[in-house]
Amino acid sequence: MPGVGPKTAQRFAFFLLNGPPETALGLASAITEARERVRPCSVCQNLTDVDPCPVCASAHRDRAVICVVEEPKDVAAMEKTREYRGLYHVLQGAINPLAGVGPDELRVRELLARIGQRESPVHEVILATDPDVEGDATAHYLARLLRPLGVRVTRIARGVPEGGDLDYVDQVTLGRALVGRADW
Amino acid sequence: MNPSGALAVQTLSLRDFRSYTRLECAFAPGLNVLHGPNGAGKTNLLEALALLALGRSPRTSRDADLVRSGQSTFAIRVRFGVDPAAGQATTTLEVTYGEHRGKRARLDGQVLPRMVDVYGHLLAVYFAPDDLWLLKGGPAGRRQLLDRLLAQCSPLYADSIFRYRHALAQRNQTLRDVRTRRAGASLLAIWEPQLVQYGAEVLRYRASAVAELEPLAAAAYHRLAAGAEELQIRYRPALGAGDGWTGDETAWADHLREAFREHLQADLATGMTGRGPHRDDLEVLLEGAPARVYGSQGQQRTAILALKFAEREYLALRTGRRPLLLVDDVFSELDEPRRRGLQERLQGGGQVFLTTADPRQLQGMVGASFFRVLQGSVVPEEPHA
Ligand SMILES: [Zn+2]
Repeated sequence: MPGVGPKTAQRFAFFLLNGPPETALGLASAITEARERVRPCSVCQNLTDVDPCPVCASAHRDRAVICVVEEPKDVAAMEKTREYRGLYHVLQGAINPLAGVGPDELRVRELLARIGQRESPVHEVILATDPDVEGDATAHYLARLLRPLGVRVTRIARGVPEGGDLDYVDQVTLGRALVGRADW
Repeated sequence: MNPSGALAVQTLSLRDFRSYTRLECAFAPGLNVLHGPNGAGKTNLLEALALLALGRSPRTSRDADLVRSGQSTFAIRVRFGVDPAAGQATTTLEVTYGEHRGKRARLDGQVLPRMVDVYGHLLAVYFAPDDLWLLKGGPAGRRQLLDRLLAQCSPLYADSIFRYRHALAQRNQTLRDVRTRRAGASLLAIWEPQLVQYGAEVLRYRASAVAELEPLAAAAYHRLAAGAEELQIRYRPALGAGDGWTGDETAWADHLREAFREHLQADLATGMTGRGPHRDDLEVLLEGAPARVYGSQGQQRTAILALKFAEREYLALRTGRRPLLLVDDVFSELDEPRRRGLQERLQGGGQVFLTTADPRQLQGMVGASFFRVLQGSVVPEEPHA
């Protein structure tokens, strides 16, 4: 399992073996149920137990804007900001040739199909892939596919974080903000 | 910034690192001489300090080699500060390693997000006897010298070179995928914006650093050798025909973009990116000729020492903190006048860790603290009479 080393796995095992049987059986059936019921939303590819997912089915969301993210957890992070009222598209990863992941392994075709729909035209696609090397490259890839379709393509800003201490990693952001400073 | 602020390690702790089961040792803020027979573990101490400064061992790229045999984890920890003897605050830096999770660094107990974030805290310059390959070998070693120096000066540089290398590895894999028809050629272009952005940052930093290092290295060479030869260093970016020597980030970015474009067909044929800062060189010249062919052994060793002293000066100027000097057994390689020149340069310039099999070579050094290294232990000795 990702993020779980052998020692942690051993602790899980001991916990389940030493506890009452209901704990282990309850967990087992919860996993089985989740595996059977949770599937990608047929519209946005986010994980859901109802299809289409609540966001795609909602009458209160702006259907002209799609925010593209890598993983389901990124949707949860965007939702927490409460700043966003559009729809999502979950790529289920980023382009990573070293890991054998090309565009065909991602949900790119499904995204393009959504842009082309006549009945609910998309005006803007926000690229919110991760700010790392693969995420940036994936954003470039998508921008080159989307621009010819006449849709506005934007990328979430990378900037100096608000408040808090400027810790070590933020020095990099700050330094780059300084290098890339603009007339004001 | 206080230009005289010297970094000093107060204590070093090791667990299952190389030959050491457990070690806790306090050091002096000035010159620390580590002596003992060959194979006693002197170099391992310098290696541990260098690893905390650079995030990796200067001797091996295989972290598993650093674990004491029969074990699967190690830990290195230092407490250090700027002039800590004068009551200034100290910092704790720790690197731990485990077979499955690799290395992890903590600064005052806080986990750093990446190993590259270790750069810039404990500053160090490392000298080793096999540094002669810096002159004799290919450009990789000389690029590494620049990269380690600049990553310690600037978190931005550390991040830029890290991202550049990462994007480069992805582009090279894409080149190979295009050759085997697993990917379309259009996929190559998606790595270029980042290669150009981070590559241009790397080029700008390296060019200005070499320009500043040059007079420092030339002066250090004169003092060490008391000789008449002129030491020069030159930055040689691998950009093909459009070599640009100065300029801002935009100029470097344009050069780099052009170099990638020009070389695309060759890159596709070889499956490797042939232009860019990962192919740069730092030329070292004595009397205008390449030092690897011109110099005698003594001149070549002096040129390398001069480069290392220039690194120390540059780090001190840039960061306002004087870095540690980690000097591994270089005295035995030098003749008497050069040995004296080096001894003079090692005194009064911040904290130094020096290994030798023969401490008599260093009897004349004022204010040195001596430590005897034997089979996984380090024992402080009374000052020599
Ligand atoms: Zn959905």
